[in-house]
Amino acid sequence: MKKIIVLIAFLVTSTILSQSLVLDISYTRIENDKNRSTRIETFSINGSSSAYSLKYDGRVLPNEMNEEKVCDLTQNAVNDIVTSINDNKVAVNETFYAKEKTNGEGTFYLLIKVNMIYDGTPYEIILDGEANLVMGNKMYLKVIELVKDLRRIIKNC
Amino acid sequence: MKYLLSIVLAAFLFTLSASAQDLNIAISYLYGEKSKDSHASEESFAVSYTSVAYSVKYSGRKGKNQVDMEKTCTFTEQDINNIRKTIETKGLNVNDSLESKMSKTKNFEIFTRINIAIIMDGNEYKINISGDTIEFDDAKLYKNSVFFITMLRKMVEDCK
Repeated sequence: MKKIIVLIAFLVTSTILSQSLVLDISYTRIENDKNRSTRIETFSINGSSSAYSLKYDGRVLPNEMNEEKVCDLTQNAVNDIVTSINDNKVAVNETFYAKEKTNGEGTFYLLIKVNMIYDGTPYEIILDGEANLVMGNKMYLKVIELVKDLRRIIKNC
Repeated sequence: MKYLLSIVLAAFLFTLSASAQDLNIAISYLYGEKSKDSHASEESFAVSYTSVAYSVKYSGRKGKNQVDMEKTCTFTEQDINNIRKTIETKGLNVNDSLESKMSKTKNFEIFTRINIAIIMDGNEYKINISGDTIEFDDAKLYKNSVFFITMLRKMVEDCK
């Protein structure tokens, strides 16, 4: 009887957690050169529904191909995302704007936006600026860990 | 040549100092529950140049982690840049207000009172919001103000 109660409690908790997560991430990398190459990766998760896309613009290398995927996440996958959000402490509001160069030719720029509704609370992270400066920000490392987890989870979905 | 270099350096330092000095922020954020078990928290932020003063006070029922505190610290130039840019991108460089009409007639509500005063680039901005939070759920001004406050709170936590 105890086991059944624990199981029901676990399932109810899992269901509530999966229902209360809305996560949108866009990760844009722009190279400001003559070819103006751009890479935009987006993740969109609402409960157990997920959509992923990767788009290249401008000069494209042979292994850089656009991708799109829509799939339903398992309960375990949703739990993994929630765990990653908690472990990486990305349920916060934070901005980081960093542009130092006046002449941006040949410079890489990153624009990363994380919008999340987690347990009913909205959160937003914006990281915007020259790649070398953004990549030195602590929050960038945390967001990238979440992005890596999402790539793995979406790949297996 | 040396003379020219010192003029450039002085101009650079002046620009840096002017850009940081021209930002003053005063925020008061009251958030609470009106019920049989009423409780509230009141935070205040004061940012002047790169100096920051923060305080939070709790009244009514308190959680374990809810302890009154005060903190003063210094923001970095990067912090100030982030704040300035966030004020612009979130549209907080405005004079605006929101007031809930039904607030006084309710027995239960989650209420808020937000006062934000900003002086930036020689301009003064004031935002005043008060009432039941449920009535502000779709209001951009409320959402962006709360975003800004929670962002500042985390910056204060991290600053030395």
